[in-house]
Amino acid sequence: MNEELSEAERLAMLRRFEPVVRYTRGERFFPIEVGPYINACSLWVQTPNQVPIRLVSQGELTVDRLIESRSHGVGAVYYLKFIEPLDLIELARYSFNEAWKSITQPGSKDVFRSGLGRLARVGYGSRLVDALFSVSLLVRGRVPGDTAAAAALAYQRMRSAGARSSYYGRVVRQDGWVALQYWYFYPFNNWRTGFFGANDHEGDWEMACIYCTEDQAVDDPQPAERRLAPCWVAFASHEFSGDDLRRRWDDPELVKVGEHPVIFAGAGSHASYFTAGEYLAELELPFLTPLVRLVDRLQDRWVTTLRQAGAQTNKPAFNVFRIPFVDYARGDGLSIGPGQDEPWQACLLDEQTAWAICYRGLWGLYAQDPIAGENAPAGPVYNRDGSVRRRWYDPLGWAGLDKVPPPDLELHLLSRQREEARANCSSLKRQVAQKSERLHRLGIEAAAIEGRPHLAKTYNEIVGQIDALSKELAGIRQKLTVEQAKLEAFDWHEERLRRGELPSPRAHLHRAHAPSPELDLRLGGLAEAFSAISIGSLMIGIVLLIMFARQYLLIGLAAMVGFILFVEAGFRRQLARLINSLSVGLAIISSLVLLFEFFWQVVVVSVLALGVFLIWENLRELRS
Amino acid sequence: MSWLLLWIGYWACTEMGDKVSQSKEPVPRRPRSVTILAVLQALQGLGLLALGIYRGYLLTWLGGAELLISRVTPYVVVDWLTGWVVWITLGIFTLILALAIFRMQRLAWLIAISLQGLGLLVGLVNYIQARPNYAGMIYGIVLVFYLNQQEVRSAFREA
Repeated sequence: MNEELSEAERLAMLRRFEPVVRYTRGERFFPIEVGPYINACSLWVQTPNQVPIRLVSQGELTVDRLIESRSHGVGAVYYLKFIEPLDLIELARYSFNEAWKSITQPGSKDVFRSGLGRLARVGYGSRLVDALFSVSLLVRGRVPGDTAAAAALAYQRMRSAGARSSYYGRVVRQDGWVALQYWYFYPFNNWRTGFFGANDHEGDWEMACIYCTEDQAVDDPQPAERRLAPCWVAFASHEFSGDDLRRRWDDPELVKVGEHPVIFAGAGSHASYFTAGEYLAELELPFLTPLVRLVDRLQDRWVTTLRQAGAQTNKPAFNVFRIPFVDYARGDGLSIGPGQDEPWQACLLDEQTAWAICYRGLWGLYAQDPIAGENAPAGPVYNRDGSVRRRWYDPLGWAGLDKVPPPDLELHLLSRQREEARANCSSLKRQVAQKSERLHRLGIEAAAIEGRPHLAKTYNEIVGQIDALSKELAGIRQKLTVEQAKLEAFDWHEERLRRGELPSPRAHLHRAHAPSPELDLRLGGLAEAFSAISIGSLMIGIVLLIMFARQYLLIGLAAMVGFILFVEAGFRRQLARLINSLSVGLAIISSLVLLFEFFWQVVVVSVLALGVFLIWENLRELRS
Repeated sequence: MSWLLLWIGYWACTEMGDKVSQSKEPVPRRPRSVTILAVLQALQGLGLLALGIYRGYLLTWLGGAELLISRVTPYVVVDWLTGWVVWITLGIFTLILALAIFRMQRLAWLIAISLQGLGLLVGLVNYIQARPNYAGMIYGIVLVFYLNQQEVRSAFREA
């Protein structure tokens, strides 16, 4: 694919637009080369219903040994293991150093301050589901608690030994575009233990892609990288796919330093964002999916069909059965890239890169987590199941760009579409003329033989033919109208293209990710503390009620829930909304009670009302 | 109690507590739905008042006859008495609230929805205790959904 581009040319292309990555204070892991990581790992295989087998010990693993051909049968999962758990003394020393640093250097880029946490941003139901999720970690496979600390120490050792901030760049030509892919390898994702996120896992691959057009004039004296013009940028992110992943180069949301787009990396998760901020990411558990869908549908009906409270606002952002997590992408920590705190080391990645192509296993611990959040990812080429990633074999389709032609081809393609539409029009017009004449002839024939008993059968056949032909002709005329309308649209679009007018840079977005807005909380610290303890206290309260005052269980539960609801609504300045929601809930329950008690009366009254309405409508018609 | 009602009446008839006028924004024209809401609320107030007066009359009548022959327990009397006072007070309060709604005072919407919620809660409790008041429940349901109509909420800046 890149046979006409030398390594130096590809590197120059990648260098020209290499993104700047801005991290959040407290980030422990930054992208490095894979070599030192592989050397620090052991290689394992897990076969179904068997204990894991170590294939290569820590310190003995090299790239050559990693890519050796192996076969352990169907269902075998190969994985690297980066970290052996710390002993107690090492862990205590690490924890003490971290705590000491946060006290003595509160403004340091190494110290994370969570600020207003996720629990204060979401409702009670979500908090309850979140509590269940936390409890589920006890039974699900997960990365052990001290692994993040051990990984941080191992990472520091690799940095001390000379590992530099690096990315792996790949240049792909596809359908007239040049895609510059930047792959970042992080030794560890400590989103859960470091930043109150959803998961931890060893090894983490992230990717950003810049889509350029290329001036292909043969006699162009400029070097290859100077012939590129950037048009789109796409970042891999949680929950988003296709069109929503990319932004146009002139989109104001895309922050740039010169020609370098800026990525705001999520703390611990390393997910990429276009804007600095704190993002609410929602995790949907597979077994709660039906409930999630049901709540989504009910919310939609309430707002759009019944036009009830909240009808003027957008669809509610949160579903009670999704678990909320905050991804902190503040961009106030270390910044890596041209002219930043540290520069990048660029490494090439292509179809000849052995460790990427020949190793289909996981790049860290296989924790056997059924939700997969704690399992390490596979490499840049493969999914966890060993299939090839779409972003590798179809970089355009991955970001929904496969349907978008490069700008320099637009006029040519439009002209071809117009020619095709014109040809269609001519053909359809010919068909209309032929069918119309045939229809006229049948019509005159039918008129001539109508009313003659000895030709009655023939007459009926002709009438049938007329009906069929008439329908066919109507269909052709409709197609002709559409083709003519398309021609008009093509002309209009061509004019816009010639004038250099571009559609809105955000026209392709269905659901853009925006940072979570600042919360307007009364007594913020107290509200935060109350949010953190409310659900746990409720659970303890229920147990105490069952143990000591079972006869007051219902009323006690109602009192506790009511207290929590009103206090939190007070903190959030949402007492009016709460009272309204409760009133609406009571009204719905009362309606169901009435329907239960007076079902047949309701049916009779409804039929009577319908009858009166119909009479009224008909009388109005008579009067008019 | 009378002082409290007098104060609430003063609030309903003046601009006190009205954030719309405090912010010196132009007072919006009253939509027809708000007028209808005020009328519905006033009818509810009149209904409650009539019920209170009827109960008071019943109590007086019983006081003369039934109590003497001890067919009515003191508990029932207290129930009637509190019912009488509560109904009359609620009736007057609801009438004042109707006036506040008519004058589009912002707080009136919140008080009205709270009152209807409370009424529905009492209605459901009574239903569970086999003392249903279906007419009151229907009226409450209608008012809750009417209060949540977009036009009404916009008029009280609650949308």
